[in-house]
Amino acid sequence: MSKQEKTVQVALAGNPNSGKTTLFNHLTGARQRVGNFTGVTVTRKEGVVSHKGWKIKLVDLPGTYSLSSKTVEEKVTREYILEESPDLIVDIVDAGNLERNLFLTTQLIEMDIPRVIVLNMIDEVRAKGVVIDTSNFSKLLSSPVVETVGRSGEGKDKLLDAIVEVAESGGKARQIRIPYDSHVEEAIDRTEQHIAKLHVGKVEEERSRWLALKLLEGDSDVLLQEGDHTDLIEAAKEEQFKLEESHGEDSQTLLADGRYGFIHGLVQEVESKSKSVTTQNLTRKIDQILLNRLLGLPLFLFFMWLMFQTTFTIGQYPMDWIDSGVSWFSNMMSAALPEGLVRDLVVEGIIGGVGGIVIFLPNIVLLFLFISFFENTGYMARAAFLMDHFMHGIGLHGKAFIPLLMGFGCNVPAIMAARTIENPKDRLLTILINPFMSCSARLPVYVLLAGIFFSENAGSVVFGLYLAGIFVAMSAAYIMKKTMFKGLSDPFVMELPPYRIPALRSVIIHMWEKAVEFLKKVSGIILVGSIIIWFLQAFPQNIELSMDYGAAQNRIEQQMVAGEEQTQALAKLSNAQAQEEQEKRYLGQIGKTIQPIFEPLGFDWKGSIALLTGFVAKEIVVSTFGVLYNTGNDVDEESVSLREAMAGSMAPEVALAFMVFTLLYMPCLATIAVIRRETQSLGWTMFSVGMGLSVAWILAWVVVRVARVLL
Amino acid sequence: MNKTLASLKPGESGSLVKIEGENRLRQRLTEMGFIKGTVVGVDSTAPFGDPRSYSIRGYQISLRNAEAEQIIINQDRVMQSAVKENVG
Ligand SMILES: Nc1nc2c(ncn2[C@@H]2O[C@H](COP(=O)(O)OP(=O)(O)OP(=O)(O)O)[C@@H](O)[C@H]2O)c(=O)[nH]1
Repeated sequence: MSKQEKTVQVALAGNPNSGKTTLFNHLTGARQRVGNFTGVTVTRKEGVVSHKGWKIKLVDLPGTYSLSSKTVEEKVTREYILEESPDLIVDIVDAGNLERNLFLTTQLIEMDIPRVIVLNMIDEVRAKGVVIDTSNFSKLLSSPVVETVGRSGEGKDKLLDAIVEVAESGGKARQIRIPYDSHVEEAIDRTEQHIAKLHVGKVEEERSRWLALKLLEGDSDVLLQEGDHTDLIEAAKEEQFKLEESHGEDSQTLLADGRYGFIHGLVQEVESKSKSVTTQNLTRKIDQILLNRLLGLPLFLFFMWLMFQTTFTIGQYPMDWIDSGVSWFSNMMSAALPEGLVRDLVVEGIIGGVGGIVIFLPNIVLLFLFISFFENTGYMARAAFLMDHFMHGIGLHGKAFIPLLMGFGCNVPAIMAARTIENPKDRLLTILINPFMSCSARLPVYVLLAGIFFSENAGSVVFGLYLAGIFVAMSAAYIMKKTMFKGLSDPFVMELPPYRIPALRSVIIHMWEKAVEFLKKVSGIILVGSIIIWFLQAFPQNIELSMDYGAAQNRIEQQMVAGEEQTQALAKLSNAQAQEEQEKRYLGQIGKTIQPIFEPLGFDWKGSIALLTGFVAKEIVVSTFGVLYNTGNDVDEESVSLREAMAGSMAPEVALAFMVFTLLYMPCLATIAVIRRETQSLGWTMFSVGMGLSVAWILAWVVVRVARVLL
Repeated sequence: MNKTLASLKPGESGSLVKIEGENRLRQRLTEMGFIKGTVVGVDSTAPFGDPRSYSIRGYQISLRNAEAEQIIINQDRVMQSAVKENVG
């Protein structure tokens, strides 16, 4: 804090679902910066507000129930408080759920940081006919207490006033102490004396009490930090042991007892029922339907269906606009730039590559609209509740279901959505198996090949592929859980927050953030990837062709009468040229080089090239076939000419294997990029790509063998 | 009489006696207000009978049955405390 410049660094802390983010959005508006806490994928939001001549810098910390650094969120919060030492903490408390929310408050009090306590959701409390004596509250906790309604922004100015007030007073809160059982107090005293001897005069009184408490709790981080002082640790361990011995309970429970005792007394003093409102508990009533043992699952599946249906039908319009926008832009660039390599690079490589992926933006935004809605209403936790039994069976958390389901739409937002899973291992596992969920971009490949080779049963084949994807994902999860991710899984202790109407503002901000996140990804890796693929397709430039296509073209133009036939002949010729060029460029050469790898699966060099280009995006597979089978690249999966051209080229079992391979190997560059970002690890990204490729190869091989016998 | 929380039927409640089993579960639950003497009630059950949701200190929480089995509660004491609450 600096009084000259008048800036104050403020952190927002609070339980999950206390309305922190909503309040933060109200305070900072759209002026916020979104990033990550270093080293972990926990979102960090920052914003600046000016109030009464002060510049207030706000950070939204992750929602936590405690600061014991057992979860990533808790670690991040605690490290932030200890290491970046904010000038003050705004502790956001759900006023309708004082007891549990105040537990975190007691820990903040013990860390002795200047604080402002916010009683959020005060509207719900009032509706229940409960009155909270704020001034008494403030006196008992010796810190300002402000009532707010996060959704409407009520109380926002009072909160800013309170922040400024604490800042101007130099930010020293009067200390209060959470009293513990007398034996615990004695143990604290003795440990503090020990600490004072070690760090003479360096440790302030409250800090030393906190340190003593943490030592008695056996807090692993503090033990590590004090690791040099072996005798202090020994002494603290001894105290902890004696306490546990005499009370028959572990020290953490003893301390929590003390804190909850303090909280209970506090709440008794400040909370009173003004009038007896018959609290008709709306949440309970809604749950009777949404969590009903018979209706719960069908309703959940219906909501999921609705999500997809809306995303893909409504999303079609903006997708078409983007599509025409991109073609307009690329036409404009073609016209503006002189013919040549630069133009090809810009138009085909950059605009074509990035445009082909930006097209998914509407779907991603819409999917996140739903996710954000589910989260903010409180339904997300219910979905996890309904699906947990099933998901737990394959070693996953109930919360993993929605990200997996979203994978059917697009793996990119699906992997981003895995952030709702708090446990890092569960999240990683969910991310790793996500690519096996068959995204919508793979469908054209199935439609094309199943249509040609299994025209009778095309529907069943496609359906079977989706099922196979699910099956592989589940088995992979199961196997990894049993091997690499062995060990205790986190307890499934999950709050089911009351149903609430989301604040439109928060939903929109959330959507916007995800869109920006996606675009950031596109701009980086996708750009590079598209350029590389373009380069491989365009070079070497001067290749020796088997015939002089220019001369042949002239011949046709001169010898044939203008008309239908001539046009056809010309088209055929230029396709033949395109095919030969494809074959002789680097990509074709690579395709031919790696073809032996695919030999056992029966794929020829054309299939190999198509799979290679499919690394960028699966949509490209079909258009690559278009080029390679001589029908031009302007084809789609329904195109008759392509179907006719491909019909005799593969055995049906090879086509089936090709589809299986397409299903299972890396979905696209964007997915690789997002895995890299969300796991923050190159190793896991490579593992994911490697696993996809090997599983794809092995299963495709099995399919070829088995199908050859059966078909 | 002491029972596990998992053996309670929906609608029933009891007061917490202790939490057994591994440390992490106990710590997490204690932080969230599962303290000796706190009243815990069973709310609803997921479609396959697991997990179930409970209410405690005015909020709802879901636990797998394997976890609820570690939580020992007493149904006699809850009667008294419920009576006390009504009087107070
Ligand atoms: N009635 C009411 N609802 C609120 C209030 N503040 C927030 N909400 C709603 O409560 C829900 C949860 O709010 P969030 O801001 O997402 O909660 P959070 O604390 O950021 O939650 P995490 O992201 O899990 O940490 C949203 O639906 C909000 O619209 C309030 O003061 N009154």
